[in-house]
Amino acid sequence: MQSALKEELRKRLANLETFRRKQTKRLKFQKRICRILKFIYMPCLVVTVAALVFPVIFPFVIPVVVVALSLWLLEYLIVEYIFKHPDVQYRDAFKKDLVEWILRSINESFIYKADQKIPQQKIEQAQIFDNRIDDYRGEDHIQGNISGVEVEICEGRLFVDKQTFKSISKELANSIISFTGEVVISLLGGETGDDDGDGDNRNLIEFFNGLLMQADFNKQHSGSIHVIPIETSKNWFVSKSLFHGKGKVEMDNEEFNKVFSTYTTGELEAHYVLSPKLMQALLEINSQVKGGIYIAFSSGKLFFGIDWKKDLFEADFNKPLTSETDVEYIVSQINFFEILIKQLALDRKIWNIGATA
Amino acid sequence: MIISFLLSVIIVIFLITTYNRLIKNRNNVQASFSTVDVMLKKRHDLIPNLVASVKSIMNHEKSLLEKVTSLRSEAVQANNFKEKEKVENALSSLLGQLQVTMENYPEVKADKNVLQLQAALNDVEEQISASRRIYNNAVKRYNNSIQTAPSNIIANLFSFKAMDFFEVALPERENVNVEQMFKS
Repeated sequence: MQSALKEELRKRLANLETFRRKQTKRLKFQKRICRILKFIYMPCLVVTVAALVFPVIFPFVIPVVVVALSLWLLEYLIVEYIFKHPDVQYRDAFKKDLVEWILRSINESFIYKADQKIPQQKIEQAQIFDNRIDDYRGEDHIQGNISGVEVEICEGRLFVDKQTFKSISKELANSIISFTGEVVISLLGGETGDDDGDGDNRNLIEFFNGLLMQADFNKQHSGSIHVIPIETSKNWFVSKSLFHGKGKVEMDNEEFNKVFSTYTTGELEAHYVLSPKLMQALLEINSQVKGGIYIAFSSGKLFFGIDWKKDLFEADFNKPLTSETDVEYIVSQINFFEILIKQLALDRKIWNIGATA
Repeated sequence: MIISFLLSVIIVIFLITTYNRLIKNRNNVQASFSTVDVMLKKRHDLIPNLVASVKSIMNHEKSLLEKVTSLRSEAVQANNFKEKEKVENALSSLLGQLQVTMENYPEVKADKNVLQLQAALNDVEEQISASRRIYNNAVKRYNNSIQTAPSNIIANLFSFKAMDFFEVALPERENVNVEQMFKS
């Protein structure tokens, strides 16, 4: 069985590597064609722009404009419909032919969707982050069962629009300027007008980039508990936002309090959910992974986030896929999910056997 | 004159705030102890049902079941803190023993009612543990406030006494070996 798997893996790696080489050649060829096209249409585009500035010469350069636009369109067609982004095609094949296969080989219950993510609504409902989510990008969605625990995992990047803070200062500055301006204009006897010059562009700041996981939690409790890195809670703007209304509690583990901040709807719930074992396990995980850990417990679910600023399953288009190191890395990441479940003891469901309490 | 007036104002403010803080801390201890009490009562309510459910199957464990029942009665009647702590700890360890013994009876393990009671008992044990941790945390905060300067002056002045921690029975104290989790 093991040797059959190894043989299959070798075959898949060899096929993917052949495909990668083919796609590298295609990409090089595509770039060469595009370079030639650019070499022709760029001067034509300059003439077209000149014709727009000086409409008098427009009738004389119509053929040049047509050539420029046609070549421009041709380049677009070549990139989008003929070569169809060879690097993206390789990335898709890597995920479909290798990652999905490895995931299914390790755990048959895993369903993998490379371009999907955990719905934003779930993250917002869990309030795992003490932050508003203005934009959310994610991929590598895995759904399945690890040691009897239903889990959903994905890679996610979350953004907050800091326009609000920026706009406060901008608005203040604008009002001071406009007030001064109005005073000066009125002193000069002129009329004052409304100067609405604020842009509508979002200023997205990434506040999380890493692993997101939702799993069944084995203890039944009402209310919610949120554990965030202490550095995050020190950020005044952050800690005053979503966790407003939930009290900050000091847990009975000083080391834990030095690393995490705990917010909850009830002190007893927090101590009930965060048992000494679980706190110790979280400290252990925290010491092993680089990046802040965010946890939310609510409605019988645990939401877990590690802000480790790295991709889950990414193919390097410029690197040959000949060694098994890449595979080992993928396997280690999948094994990490199981370690998480075991370490957080989510697989121990002794409390849920028709719990009557 | 002004300096002495300002100084006396500062001293009065210090006295009031420190006194209020001590009272608040003491109230916290009392409130958290009543939570422990509620959780212990929950356990007391579950024990008779559990014993009644397993009694007919576990004939050979009569003495253990009788011990559980009598300790439960003692726990219900216990009034002072030290007595309560002692009896409850003994009850905890006896219940642990009972749960282990129950493992030897396949009939007990197959009984849905017993399983439900066992799950409920485990849940209550967790809640007792949580409330006890909150209580001990509150006691630590209170004891720190009455034993450290300068609030110890006010504490001595108004006879604030240090409170006892709710000691955990030895078997519950065992630490988890997280390394082992990685190996499994």
